[in-house]
Amino acid sequence: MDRLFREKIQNHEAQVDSFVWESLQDQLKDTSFFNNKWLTYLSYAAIFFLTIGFTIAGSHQYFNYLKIQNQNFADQDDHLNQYYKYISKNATVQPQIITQKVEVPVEVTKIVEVPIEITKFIPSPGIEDILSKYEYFNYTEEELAHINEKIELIRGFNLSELPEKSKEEIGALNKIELDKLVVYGLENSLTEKERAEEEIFLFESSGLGMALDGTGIYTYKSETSTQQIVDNILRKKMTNLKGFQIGLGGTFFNSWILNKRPTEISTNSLEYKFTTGQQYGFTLGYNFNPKLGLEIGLAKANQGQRIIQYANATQIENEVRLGYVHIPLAFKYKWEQYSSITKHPIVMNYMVGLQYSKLLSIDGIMNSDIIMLEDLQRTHDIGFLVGLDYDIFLGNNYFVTIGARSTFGTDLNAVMNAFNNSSNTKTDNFTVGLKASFNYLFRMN
Amino acid sequence: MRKSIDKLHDYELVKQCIKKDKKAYKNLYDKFSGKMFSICLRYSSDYHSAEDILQEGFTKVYKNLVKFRFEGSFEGWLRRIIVNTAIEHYRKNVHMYPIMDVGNTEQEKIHDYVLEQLEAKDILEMIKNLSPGYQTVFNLYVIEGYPHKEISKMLDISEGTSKSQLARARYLLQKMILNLDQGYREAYAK
Repeated sequence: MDRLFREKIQNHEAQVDSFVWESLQDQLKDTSFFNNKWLTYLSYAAIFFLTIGFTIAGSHQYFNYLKIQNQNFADQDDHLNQYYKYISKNATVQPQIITQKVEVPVEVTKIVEVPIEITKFIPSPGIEDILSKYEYFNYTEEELAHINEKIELIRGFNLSELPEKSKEEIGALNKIELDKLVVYGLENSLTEKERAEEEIFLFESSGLGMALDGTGIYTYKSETSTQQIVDNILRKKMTNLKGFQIGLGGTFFNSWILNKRPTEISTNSLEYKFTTGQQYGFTLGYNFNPKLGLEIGLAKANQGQRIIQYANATQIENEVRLGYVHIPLAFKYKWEQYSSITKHPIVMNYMVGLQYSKLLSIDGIMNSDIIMLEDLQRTHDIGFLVGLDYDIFLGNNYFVTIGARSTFGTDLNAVMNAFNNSSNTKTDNFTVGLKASFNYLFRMN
Repeated sequence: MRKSIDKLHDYELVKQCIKKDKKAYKNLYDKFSGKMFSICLRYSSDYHSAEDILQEGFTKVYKNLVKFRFEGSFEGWLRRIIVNTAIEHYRKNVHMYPIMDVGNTEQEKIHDYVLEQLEAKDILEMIKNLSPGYQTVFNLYVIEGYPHKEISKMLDISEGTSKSQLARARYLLQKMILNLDQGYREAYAK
C-alpha cells in the first residue's frame, strides 16, 4: 500500500487558485524592504554611533571642564606676550644661553615641548610658606652658583629697547628685584642637556612672574600659586605629544554574525548567542601633531559565535571558533588635555580606519542542513574600524590606553565581486569590545 | 538525460530569480506550484490552510534562493522547504490536535487491484480526512521517506508514538479504501 500511495501521489499536481500568486506578489513587495540586510546593518550602526555619540559628548563635557580649569591658570595677557616676544628677538642675552639647547623662542606660548620630571623642589631662601608643603633641599655651593647664574641672566635682558607702553606695563621688572625664586628639577647629576630639559626657574618681582625653562620663558601673575604655575608649565610641556609610539595589548570583545542565513528556514532555524572573543598584539603609531596620528597593528584573534540550531524540533548548541590575524590601520584625531589628577596628559583619540583579516583556523561542527560551516569561513576579510581611546600618561613616555573598538568585517572576495552580480552567501561580522594596551612614546618635540 | 536538462533549466530559472527577475519568479511559481500544492494538501485538513502553507513556503523560497547551492535537484530543495513549512504549521497547531498513543491496530488485507484503481485525488482526499497527527506522520514516513527517529524529533514525539500513529493512519486509510471499494461494488451491482 505504501509503495502504491507514494507512486500515485508523489508527483501529483493540484490546481492552485490564482489568488495565491497574487497574495504572494503582494507579500514579496511588502517585505522586500524590511528584509533588506542593510536595514539590519543600519540598526546596528545606529546603536553603535548613538553609544559612541553619547560617550563623546560626555568626554567633551569633561575635557571642556579641564580646559576651562587650565585656562584659569594660563596667562592671557596679550601685552606681556608681546613684550616677551620682543625680548626674545632683541635681548642681548637670550634665554637659550641659559639652556644652550634651543634657538630663541619666537612665541611665548610655544615655549616648551619637552617633558620634564620634577626631581626636586627647591624654594629660594626665605620663602617659608612653601617649605611646609614640599621637600626642602639646602642649596649646595654648586647649586647656588648655578641659580645665581640664572638670576644674572634674567637681570641681563636688555629692556631699553622696549616700546614705552610695554616698559610702563612691566616697569616692575626693570628693577629685577626678585621676591621669589623657585627652582624645579635642579639636579647636579644631570648633564647640561638634561638640565635644559628638566629645570624650571620661577622668578617673581612686584606682582609679575616669569618662568624660565630649557626652551624659553613663561609669564604668570604672581597671585597665582606656585603649584598652579608649575602645573601650567608642565601641562604645556607634556601635551603636544609628537613622535612614534609602540604598544602591546589586547582587546576583549563580543562578536555577532550579522546575516543570519540558515540554509532553510522553517523548522530549521538559528539563534545567535552572546559570544566573546579576544585578541592580542602590538601597535605602531606616529603622531604627526597634537591633533592627528596614524596607527597600524598586528593582532592574533580568537573569535567565534555560539549558535543554537533548532533542527527538526531538536535544539543543538554549537560554537564556531575562528582564528584570525588582524591588521588594522587607523587614523586618529586626538584631543590632548593635562589632568591635574594624574599630573600627566590624557589624550582622547577618535579612530577610523580599515582592517584586513586573514583566517588562520576554523573550528566547530555545524548542522549542514541549517548553516554551512563554509558560510562562516572567510579566508580574507576586509573591515571598517572605529574606536574611541583614552591614552593615560603615567610618565613622560609611558601611557596606558583603554578604549572601545568596533569593527564590521565582510568577505573580501564578496566585496571584489560586488559588481559581478555574484551573491554573497558568507556572513558578516560585527564586533564591539574593550581595548587595553601599554605603550611607549618616543617624543620628537 | 531528460532529468539533467530539467535540472539545468531549473538552475537557470533560479539564477534569474536571484537577479530579482519578476518574470522568473512567476515562471518558477508556475512550474512548481501544482506539485507543491499537492504536498500542502496532504498536510492540511482544508484547502485554505494548504494555500497558506503554499504561500508561506514560496515566500521563504524566494527569500532564500541565494542559499541554494546548485548542487542537487532544485525541486528536492523546494520540496523540503514546503514540507518544513507544513510541519511548522502543524507544530503551531499541535495543541489543537494532540497526538496520543493508540493501541495496536489490526490490519485488513486489501487486494492490489483495489489500490491500483485508486486515483491520486482519491488518495489525497483520504489523507486529508485523517486527523492532523496521523496525517503528518503518514506523509513523513510513507511519502517523504523519513525514518521514525527523524519524525519523532520533527514532531517532538516519541518514536513509539510515531510508529503507532502510522499504524493507526494505515488502519484508517485501509478502512476508507475498503469503504470506497464497497461503495463501488454496490454501485456496480445496481
